[in-house]
Amino acid sequence: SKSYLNPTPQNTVQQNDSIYTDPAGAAKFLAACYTNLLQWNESSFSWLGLTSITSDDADKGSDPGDLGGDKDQMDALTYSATTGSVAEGWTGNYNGVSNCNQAILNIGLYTQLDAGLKNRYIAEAKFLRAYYYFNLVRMFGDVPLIDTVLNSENPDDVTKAATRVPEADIYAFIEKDLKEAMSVLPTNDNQAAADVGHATKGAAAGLLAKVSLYEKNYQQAYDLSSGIMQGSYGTYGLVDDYSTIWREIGENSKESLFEVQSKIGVPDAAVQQYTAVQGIRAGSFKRITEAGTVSVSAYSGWGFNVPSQDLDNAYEAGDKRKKATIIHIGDTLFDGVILVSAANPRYNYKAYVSVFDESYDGDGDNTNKNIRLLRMGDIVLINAEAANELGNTATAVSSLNLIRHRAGLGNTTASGQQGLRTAIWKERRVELAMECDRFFDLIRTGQAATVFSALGKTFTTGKNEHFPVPQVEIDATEGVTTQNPGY
Amino acid sequence: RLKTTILIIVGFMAFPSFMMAQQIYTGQVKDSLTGAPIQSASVTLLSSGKGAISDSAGQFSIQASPGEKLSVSSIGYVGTTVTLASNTNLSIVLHSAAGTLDEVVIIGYGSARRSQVVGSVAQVDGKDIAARPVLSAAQGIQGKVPGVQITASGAPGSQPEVRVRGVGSVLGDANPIFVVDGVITSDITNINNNDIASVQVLKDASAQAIYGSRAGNGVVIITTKSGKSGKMQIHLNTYTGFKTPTSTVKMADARTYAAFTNAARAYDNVDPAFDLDTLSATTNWFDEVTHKGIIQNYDLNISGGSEKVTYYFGGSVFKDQGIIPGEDYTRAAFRINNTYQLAPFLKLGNNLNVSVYNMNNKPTEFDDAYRMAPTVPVRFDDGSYGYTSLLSVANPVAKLDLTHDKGDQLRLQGNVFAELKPVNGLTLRSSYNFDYHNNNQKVYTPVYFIWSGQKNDISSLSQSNNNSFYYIIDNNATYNKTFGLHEINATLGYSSEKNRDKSWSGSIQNVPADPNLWYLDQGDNNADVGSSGAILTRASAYSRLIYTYDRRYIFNGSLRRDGSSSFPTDNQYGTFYSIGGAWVISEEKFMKNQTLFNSLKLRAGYGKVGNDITISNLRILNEISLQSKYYGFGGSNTAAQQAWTFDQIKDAAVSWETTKGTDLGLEFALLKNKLSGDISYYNKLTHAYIPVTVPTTFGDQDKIVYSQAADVRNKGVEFELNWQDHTSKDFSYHLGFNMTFNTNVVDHVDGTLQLKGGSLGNGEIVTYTVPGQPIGSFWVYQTDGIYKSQDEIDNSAHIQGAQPGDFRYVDQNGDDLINDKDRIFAGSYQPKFYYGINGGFAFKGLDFSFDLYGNAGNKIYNGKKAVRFGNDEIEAARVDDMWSTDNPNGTQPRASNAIPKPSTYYVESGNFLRVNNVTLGYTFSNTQKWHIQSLRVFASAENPLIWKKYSGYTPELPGNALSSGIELSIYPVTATYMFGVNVGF
Repeated sequence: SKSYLNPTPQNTVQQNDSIYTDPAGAAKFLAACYTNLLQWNESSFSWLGLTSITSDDADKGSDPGDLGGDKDQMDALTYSATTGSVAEGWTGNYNGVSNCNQAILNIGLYTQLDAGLKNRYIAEAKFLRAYYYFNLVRMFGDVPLIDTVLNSENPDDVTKAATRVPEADIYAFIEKDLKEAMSVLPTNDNQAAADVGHATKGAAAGLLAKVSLYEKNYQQAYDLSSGIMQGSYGTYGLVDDYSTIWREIGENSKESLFEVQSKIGVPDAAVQQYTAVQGIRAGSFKRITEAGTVSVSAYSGWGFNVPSQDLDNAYEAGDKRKKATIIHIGDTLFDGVILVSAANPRYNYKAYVSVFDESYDGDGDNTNKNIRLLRMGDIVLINAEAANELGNTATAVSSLNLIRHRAGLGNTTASGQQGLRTAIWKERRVELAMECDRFFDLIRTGQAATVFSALGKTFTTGKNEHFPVPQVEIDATEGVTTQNPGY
Repeated sequence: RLKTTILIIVGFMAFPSFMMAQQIYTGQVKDSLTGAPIQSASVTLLSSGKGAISDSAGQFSIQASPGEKLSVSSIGYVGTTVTLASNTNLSIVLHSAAGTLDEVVIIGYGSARRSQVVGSVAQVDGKDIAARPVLSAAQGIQGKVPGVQITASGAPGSQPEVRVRGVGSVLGDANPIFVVDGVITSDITNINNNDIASVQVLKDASAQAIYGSRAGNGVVIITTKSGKSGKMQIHLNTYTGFKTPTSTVKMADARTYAAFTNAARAYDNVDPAFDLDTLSATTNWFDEVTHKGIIQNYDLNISGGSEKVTYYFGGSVFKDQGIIPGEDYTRAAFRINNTYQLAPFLKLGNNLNVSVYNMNNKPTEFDDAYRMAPTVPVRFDDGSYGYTSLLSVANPVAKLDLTHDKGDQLRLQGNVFAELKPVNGLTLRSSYNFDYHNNNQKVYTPVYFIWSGQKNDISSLSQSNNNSFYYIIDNNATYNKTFGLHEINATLGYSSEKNRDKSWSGSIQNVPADPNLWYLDQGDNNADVGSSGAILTRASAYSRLIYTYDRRYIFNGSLRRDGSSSFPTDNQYGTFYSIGGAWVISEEKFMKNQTLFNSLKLRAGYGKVGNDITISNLRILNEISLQSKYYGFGGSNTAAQQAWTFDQIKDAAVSWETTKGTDLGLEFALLKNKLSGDISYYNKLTHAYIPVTVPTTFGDQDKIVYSQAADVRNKGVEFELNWQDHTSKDFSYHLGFNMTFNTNVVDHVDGTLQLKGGSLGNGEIVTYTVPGQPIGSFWVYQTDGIYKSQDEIDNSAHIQGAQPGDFRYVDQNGDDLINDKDRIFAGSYQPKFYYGINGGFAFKGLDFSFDLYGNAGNKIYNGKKAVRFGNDEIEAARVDDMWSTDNPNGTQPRASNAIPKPSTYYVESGNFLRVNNVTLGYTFSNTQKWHIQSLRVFASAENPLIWKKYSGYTPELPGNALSSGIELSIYPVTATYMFGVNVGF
């Protein structure tokens, strides 16, 4: 009989009207926009490979024979359309876009959801969709613009899924999403403690400021960054001690405009292996205790994405940020751990987890390390750069010095627009070192070919500004999706 | 065992008579060839149904009247009917039925004479399976049946992979279904091989179509033993032996390895890793992770019955330790098969099996043992486990020691049935068939620190339970009637099935190390728990008609309609059918005068069968997907938020996976049935599910949509020849050979789908499935030698980083680049042919048998050799004639720590011939003085020898069709040497 062959599906929620009655469901659709930030493809090994190991700040690290799949290619800029990390970067961000499109559509169907909350949820999804597209456009240039839930049976949608639109249209779409988000989202002052981690007006303004810099819309970058520094979008400021920014005690501080929340315990709500892939490899540790100096087992991992010698050399003498960014063999860390020996000479301090002084439950793959995606150090330097480009030298210098003073350095000695420009770019590098900003910054500022050439790597102008479109995506559209030049 | 029927008698001619008073008839039943007495033959008076059973001397006695008809039958013999005359001392001779056209064959929902079967059905006797020290009957039929390929691993508790006439389903389970006394299952490891009466393999659509909806990958019918009316029989069978790896790979010693590694590092400008003067002894890691395992089996069965009731009780314990220290598998199985003749027209019965197993699982450490540096000791002098930070390889011994993984299962399987015969020829049968599994698993991971690459900071425990209850209610009617020259066998039935799965799992951290505290309550913090369930239902109507004219011409048609809850409501139903015919040439008048052929039969059939289990859960098209990650809004003081979304696209058109096929066959027996055989041709096409890759932008999280988008063809010829003869009363022998030539080819794939597979786990993939090639063909670069100079590299297409001494890859398309476009198809794991050879003899009390199995024409990818992450151990042969500046004409590439490119260098021949089993037995005579009826002792070797070209551990590699034949960490086939005793009381 018909019902015998249609048993109620077990452990499966099927889409029907009833799922739209309980407003708690809307929060779940929204949460899926955020949980994509915890994925390996989005924020972890693939992302580090695409944005950090590629840059002059970091080397592949680990054992010479352990390539981490393809991280040797990322390091040498020899990746191709079949390189796994590249495909994962595309997948991670488009999965995020899909989750946001689903959230925007489905949250709209919750009739009993408070209207204010509904608008806020949709605005948050738009903020995240803009973030994912910002990554896509920086990585791949022209990309398909998916702004709705697609129906794979509809020919128009099939075309839309395969057709790349110009970079400028993607930027326009990002701006639109961010402006809509800014107009709706609350400031961090008006955010409940239980809502920390949700996107705020400040996050949207900050991201738009950064996007504006890539668009070379300096006025907008300047206005937004100035507004943030003056408190127009919430309460933000530089924290006094740079070394605390990436530690547990620095989570969701006034420095932070948006960070990925990584939470240990049950249920699983942590970024997948972000710290494990960067953890100290084959380390031996000692620690000073009341009983004297004893051997201990500290947090360790695979040892990828290690700070380069070139980054090490980039810091001025007396720059406090160097020892807050790079762990060297022999260093005593903030929790008293001494790194006696390890497989690599340097490690990323910003990815270090203390098993003694921070929350740690023994699960090295899922740690309590929030990823700071957007913070005031960045905003202040955006402000400096935008001001300088607009000819407002005084503001540029004062913003730049704010950053330098925190780092324990004196006023900048640079002068003139070009001199300041170089100084600001240099400052961005050390301020945001190992924070996945450098590679895109080199391309944005046109320094890439020169910088990589000095390091013996080939950055081909007209090709390497973008990653190749993954071959698997081209094949899946039977060749409709086009490849970037040079690949 | 349902062999029987035909008659032969001799003694006296019946003479016209009238009914006489009853008298006592006595007689002896004997084998026609050997003259040996036949025990347990049933002797029945057709008029009254009264019966007797022959004793161990073949003797019987029964009260009857002259003129009455006496039927005499025994399993494995052609039965006979004798009309009683005045002579009360009868001598009855029975002919062996094996292989003849009158042999009764189980064909699914019934049985038929072999002559009436129009499809390809192979039959293996239970005692041939019980003779081998293997867990499951699936392995027991290896090499015995043409068209059936069995690929086993040596892992205790594992069931081998079975492929009937090639591989059709691309995804999921391409194994046939097993029908155990009416219960359909995919797992027969619960059945004690000694309880099996016979195994039938239905190989083509016209044989399978009665199981149409489930038969897409073949059907194996297993019939268990039942009691026979007569004296109680008691049999005790036992064997015990040990297991070792059949073949090993010679690895480099510490010095060779160290020198190679230093040389490889030198090419990369890295400091040497070893001082060759201070190396300690070599560790043979393969030896360290293997040992001699013990295998044991004890089996006792008791059977018998009266005219009204028959019974069979079986009990057994099977224990297999395997070759990995610490692993073991112990199974106890109990069986009760009874029938109750309540009235001449009504019979009830049951077949019930209870089995329990316990196992300790250990990881298959053969990959780690292969890669681990021989310079590392198992333990350092201070007792701690050895390691080296040069390699990301765990100490394999430590891994075995630190793995605590226990599983157990309780399984209840069987049926109860009633058979009603309201009128002559009509049988109504109702049965309730069920299968219940309850599986538990517990895994404990202690805290340990060997080095930073092999450590666990916090102990954890995970526990899980899966249980399922499956039933089929089956009602059918069969009608068998002969009208003169016309014979009709009709079957009509209806069945409904339901499977209910339930599972839960939990894990927790910080659990004490004492095994008695390995419970979720003992951990700290909260347990991570989950549970799930699934329901699958099917409803089916089936029918079959066999029409036989004059025993010469046979028509067979079957039709079946099935609904399955696996598919969307609009596509739930499928219709399956077959049509076929047979011509028994040997029954023709023109054959009456020839003496060469004892039987000759031609058959042909065509049909369509299906499969609904390749991909589960296709029905719900708009399913909300719960995300595995939660999100931690509000920091540590707020509970994490659950997330859900829609991120799976499904094909709304999915329905039954179908296979259509043709079978043609010629069966024959000649020279007084000494030579018999079968030649078949088959050609079948499977419209298979494949994973279709869609662009990520569609919003499908894994980019995979399952769709029926490929056609896979298997066609071939198979033949079987058997010779058996008794040259004297004391000596008999037999010899058999079977062979199958199969061609597997993908006919069509929709669009430009990417069916790449065979990931080596190091970023390289080595198989590609495309039209015109076999499934899962190896897709690699072609090597054509070694670069001898930098000049040679500079002047040819090369991969980045190539150095003198590296492989040269052929630039197939001449574009001066070496990339995926230069890969070639280098064969697949699908064999071109496979074969079995068996034989043996009996001389007085002595018996000897052997059994060989082989396959040829396929390729293997030596994956373990091709996966190098740097500084890994090498095979001893790697350095033979290795290129170096000192040996510029070397034929093997230079020492290197680079990740090898997939190339023809790693594609090796899959040809092998293996001795499956050799057994020598002795049956004692005159055992009555010890108060036992029979006593046989035997010694047996299982898999003692293999001839292979492949350099790895084993050429037998079970695996998914799209990526089969890649050796990464296979559990090798093991050799077993054992001794056993069979006693009958």
